[in-house]
Amino acid sequence: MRQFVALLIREWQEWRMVMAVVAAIYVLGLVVSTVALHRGSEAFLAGHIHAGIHHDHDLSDSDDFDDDPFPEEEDDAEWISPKEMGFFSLGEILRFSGRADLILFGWTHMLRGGVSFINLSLLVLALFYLADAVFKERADGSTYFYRSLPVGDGAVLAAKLVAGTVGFLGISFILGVGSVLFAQLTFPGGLAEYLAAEGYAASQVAIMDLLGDWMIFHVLQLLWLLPFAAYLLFVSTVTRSRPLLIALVVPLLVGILWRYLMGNNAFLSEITTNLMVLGDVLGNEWLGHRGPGIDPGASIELFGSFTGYIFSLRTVVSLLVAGSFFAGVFFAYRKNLAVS
Amino acid sequence: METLIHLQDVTKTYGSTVALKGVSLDIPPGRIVGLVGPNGAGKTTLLRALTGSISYAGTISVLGLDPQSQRKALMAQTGVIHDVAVLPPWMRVRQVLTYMAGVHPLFNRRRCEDALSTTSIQMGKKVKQLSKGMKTQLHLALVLATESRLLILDEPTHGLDILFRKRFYTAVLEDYYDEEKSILISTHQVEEVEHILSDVIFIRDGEILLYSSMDDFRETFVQLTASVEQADQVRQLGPLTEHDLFGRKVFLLRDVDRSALEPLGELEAPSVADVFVALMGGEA
Repeated sequence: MRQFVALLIREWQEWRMVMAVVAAIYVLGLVVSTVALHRGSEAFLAGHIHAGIHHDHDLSDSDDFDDDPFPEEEDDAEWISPKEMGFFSLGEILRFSGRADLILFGWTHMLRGGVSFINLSLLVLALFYLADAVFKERADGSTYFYRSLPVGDGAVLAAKLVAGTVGFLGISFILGVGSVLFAQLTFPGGLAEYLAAEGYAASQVAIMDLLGDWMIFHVLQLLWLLPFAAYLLFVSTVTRSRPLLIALVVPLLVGILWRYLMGNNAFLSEITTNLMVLGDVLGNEWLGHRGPGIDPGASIELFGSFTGYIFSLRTVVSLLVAGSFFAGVFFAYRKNLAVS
Repeated sequence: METLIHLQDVTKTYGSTVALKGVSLDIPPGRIVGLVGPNGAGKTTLLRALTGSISYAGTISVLGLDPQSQRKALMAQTGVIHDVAVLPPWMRVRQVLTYMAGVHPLFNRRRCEDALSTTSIQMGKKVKQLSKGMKTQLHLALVLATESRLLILDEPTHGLDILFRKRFYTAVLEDYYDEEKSILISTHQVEEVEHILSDVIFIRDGEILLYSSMDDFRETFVQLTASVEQADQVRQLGPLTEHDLFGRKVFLLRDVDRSALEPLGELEAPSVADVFVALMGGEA
């Protein structure tokens, strides 16, 4: 275990600057957008921006929400369906029935966009990392140094796979959780109260359930991305040059060949399905839904059950494919193939 | 007798190139063995096979362990310097030490730091920022701090100046070697190590040409400096090489009775380099 920790630390030391820069950019963006939204929310609550939605309660002691600077819009006010909430186009935003929607849209999409951004950014980084993980040490000759020490090849390679999957996804999870907590802390109390009274789901989300779901989502993402991660590591171990390029081009060519021979896109579809876990699973889920389908008194299940995703044939196939590639990595690594 | 290194019919090919051709060898413990050969002779391939760094055909046992299937156990008892350029260039010196401490159960960090404190290597420097000599010093300090039973050095001083080369081998002898330990050194600068060797191996084109203790080596080979008039007599004894030196003839002979040579001229022990060149087919 001590050895494995040392191996993980080595991987971290090599990539920590890149991680730090990505995290710093993300945190900066999060803070800036939060500040902007916070100010907008405060202005909204203070009545500088008209709510423009139907409400029949008295928020605090203010009647400013009735002071509509755009009275003609109120006649056209419509409820936005919950499923559409996550996919507003610019045109739809402009057609918002009320400013409360806009404020809520901002908050929810700051979170949704933020965690999606950090998740995808780290996945792209993981792509570079895994493609380079073995190739780089083969290229600079340090494989000979590492293999001159009493560490098993399996442990070395497992550390790289863990760092490239659990490591990157772990950081994604931590930053995602940080984002949610940060938003919770900075979400104006008055706005929450107002939204609750208006039947918005945002106020009904159980935060611990959300974090639990978010963690399980990352586990699912790990399982489904494992074949591609192991494949990248395999390419990194055997290719003589340009591991990332080769790693991306080969499946593309196979996909084209598959389409030519089989007449469908099944090969590439399977890969992209696994890669797009985020889009598939999160699709139309996140904070901010409202509408007639939501019971104002019930807590909201944001993601539904993950067990159906995790204990699935796709997961089994993913593990088998990943295991096959990892075995290939293990045997090729011992040969320490030359690079050009 | 216990065998430190055993090779039986070891062959290694790279594509159509045969780097090792059925090498068989037994090296006892407690020796300092020089592996000498020209570029491309198979020295590095042989050492990499001994350390399990590459695959091969045949049988190898080092310290009683199979380098391929028991590499981890073998490396716990073996220090290896493959080449000066194999330390990870992105790591800082401090990180290399931390890594070693994490993965090597016998690594003595204090000893390594003490060794480095006598050099100009700074802990915060990256390996790629170190000079070639510093990298070698660092690698040697790492290896000597592992208390290994066997030290394998592959051209450790290649590209370094003579002062550093001398210091390197002095450090190896003073800080590492005792009769319980063994050293296998690959080099083509044989004149710099021959005074410390107890055995020598000549390798060419993947084949072992000679394996001898230095005592046997000095018994086997002799250099005779004779007058021109006596040259024909010497030539009848089948010298390996012959060349002129200040109007006299210098011969290198193998397995010749010295009592028969003494009347013909002055006898001397040849250098390993002279014998090496002679056996490689050149002239001394």
